[in-house]
Amino acid sequence: MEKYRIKFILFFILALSLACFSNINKAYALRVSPGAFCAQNVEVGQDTDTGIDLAIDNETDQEREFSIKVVPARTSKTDSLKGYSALPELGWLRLERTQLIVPAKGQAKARLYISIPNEEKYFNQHWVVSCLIEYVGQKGLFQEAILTRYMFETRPKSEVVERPYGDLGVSPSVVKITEDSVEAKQKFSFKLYNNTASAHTYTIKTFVPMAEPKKLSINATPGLTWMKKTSWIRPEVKKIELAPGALEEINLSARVPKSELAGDKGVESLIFVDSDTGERRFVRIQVE
Amino acid sequence: MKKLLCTLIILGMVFWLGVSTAQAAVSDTFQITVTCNFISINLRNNGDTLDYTTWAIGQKAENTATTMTQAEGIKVVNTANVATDLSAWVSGQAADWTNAASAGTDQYKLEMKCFDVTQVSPDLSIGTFTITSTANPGNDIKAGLAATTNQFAYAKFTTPDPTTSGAQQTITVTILSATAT
Repeated sequence: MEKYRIKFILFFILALSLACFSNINKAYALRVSPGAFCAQNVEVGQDTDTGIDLAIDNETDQEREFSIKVVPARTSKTDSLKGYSALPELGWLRLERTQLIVPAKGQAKARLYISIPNEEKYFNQHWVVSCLIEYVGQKGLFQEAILTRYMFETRPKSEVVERPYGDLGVSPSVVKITEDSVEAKQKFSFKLYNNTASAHTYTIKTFVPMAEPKKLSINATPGLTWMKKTSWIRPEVKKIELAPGALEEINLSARVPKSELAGDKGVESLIFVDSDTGERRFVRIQVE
Repeated sequence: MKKLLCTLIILGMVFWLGVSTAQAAVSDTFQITVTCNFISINLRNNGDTLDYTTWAIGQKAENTATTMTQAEGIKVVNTANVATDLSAWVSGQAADWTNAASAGTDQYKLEMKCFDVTQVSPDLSIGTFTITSTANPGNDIKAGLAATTNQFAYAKFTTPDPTTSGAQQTITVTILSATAT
């Protein structure tokens, strides 16, 4: 390509901008709520109204139009938020409207619906997906956008006819333990599935999310608190290799102090299953 | 029960609009825990008197780097109530140029860097993030920004070398706020 010889003729202006903004000290130009939530016991085979409205607030003096797109979530970097895999089909999360006109200093909303196909393999799943909220058209040279994070846990089911969806599966995704069965020193278990055509090694450990203040983490099930010690739930194996297509029952023992279960109290911990591929699933262990 | 300050629990919300076709019995109720009430972001001028509008770089030679001055900087006002990550991408591309990892033929280089406080002389000679992306999720420019903490972002623009166009070019950059992961 011929070298461009005439220098100093580039007239580069990073320009534009729509308007004057007379208001000062605005708290925000774009606010989206909720920023993150976790829905548990999402039914399979139903169109579920989450009861949640994605709300966009516009504190500027001008009407603004925004688009809402369902997009894959960003990959988690911290242990306290890992274990959710991508929603298999983005279309399963549906918005009442995907374009909102928000009046000046006003708010607009769109209801969220989740619809999981009626297939046995979709029980016991932990999925994450995001909504991207952007301006329609250009607002300025630099413009704001927001990415939410929504987690969906499908209903747990012990006896499944079909293997769970994904390369690595668990069933049930929630193990419920009663105080009496803890006292009786009963064993508990969940099944681990290698749904790939290769052998894989899985590491199994108890985990209690300990997020830093004001950072997202996997939430405890409403009504339960995280266990104070991971040693209260012990998997019998810490590492296991599964042949292609194999499944294995993983036994657990529970030793929860009686004082932690007094009255209506209940506690919860997670069992993390990490594949040598880097994939992770978790099982909620609930003692009430 | 210990929870994040921002956590709002909505218990016992059962909304079944659709007709049950798969399961005869539902033993557990549908529950939603809101773990982050809201995310908000506002791009303001350095003095926080107006929303950010324009960075007019002006007439530049090929392969020339221009860094924002203090007055040209962007105040990123963050009132999210959980930690967030900031990323950026070129959402409106120039007519004749594209963004790239380094300046080249009709390719410009856009770098950004965030600071905790406004910079009298923004130093973008090191520690910058190059914006090569043109779509979500973009390139990270600040990870783990604490809740309700602002940032001052500055950009550095290097013109193509060479260019086949001497016409004025305009781009739009989207700055994304997402819950820190």
